[in-house]
Amino acid sequence: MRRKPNTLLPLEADILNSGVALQRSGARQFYGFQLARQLADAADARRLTAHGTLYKALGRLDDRGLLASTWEDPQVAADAGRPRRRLYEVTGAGERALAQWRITHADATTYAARRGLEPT
Amino acid sequence: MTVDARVAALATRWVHLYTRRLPAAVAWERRAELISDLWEEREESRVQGRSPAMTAASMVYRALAGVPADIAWRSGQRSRLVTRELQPLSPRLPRTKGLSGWRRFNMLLRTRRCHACGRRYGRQRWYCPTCKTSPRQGIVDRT
Repeated sequence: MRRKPNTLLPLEADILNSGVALQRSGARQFYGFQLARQLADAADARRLTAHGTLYKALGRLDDRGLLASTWEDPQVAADAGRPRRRLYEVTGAGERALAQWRITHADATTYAARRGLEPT
Repeated sequence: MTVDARVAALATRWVHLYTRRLPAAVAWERRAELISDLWEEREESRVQGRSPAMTAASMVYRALAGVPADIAWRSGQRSRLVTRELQPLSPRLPRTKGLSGWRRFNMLLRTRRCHACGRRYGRQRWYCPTCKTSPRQGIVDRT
């Protein structure tokens, strides 16, 4: 089934919501696993989002300009002794799309309460 | 080698498999992102003192549950590749090189090869738009 253009899937809205929550908690950017953890914690779920589902959704949001992504400096990753992270950031368009999604789909307070997140 | 390391290696093999024959940059990004994710999950488990078996179970679930999305993503990337390959070509001169699977089959079905210049053109045409040659009537002078 094809979806309407300029609409968000529930997972995409959750990603944007979690991304905004991470950015408000002090992180300027976030990475895939951190987002998966945040999504699971926010939904009080035991399991993390599947790799394919998560990165496919992130790619879609990136393509649509709702997220912006950059690769971490290789030196930073090498110094920390880990693989490079792809760092994401919710863009202004992403925040507007999320706000619109909340208005369209549910009362913002109910939605945030269900996800355990602060409404904007 | 611990069980979680084995699962991480299997998941890495899977990402290498489904990113094969994709543009190098696209394949590299997906592989690097997944390798980073697997590393982060193992590291978090190690810091929190979770057993390797629990970490492995989580990684197996995440890898298996994501297979349909991985395949759909690959399919989407392949379609983009085909679209990019066809862009510089005139719509009058469809080409099957670079296409794969049913797209190639469909293209072959809808087009015929010109016996004079060897290019393919739509079956609805009765002469080749490039060399103006008809299979039955020879050269067609349209001017």
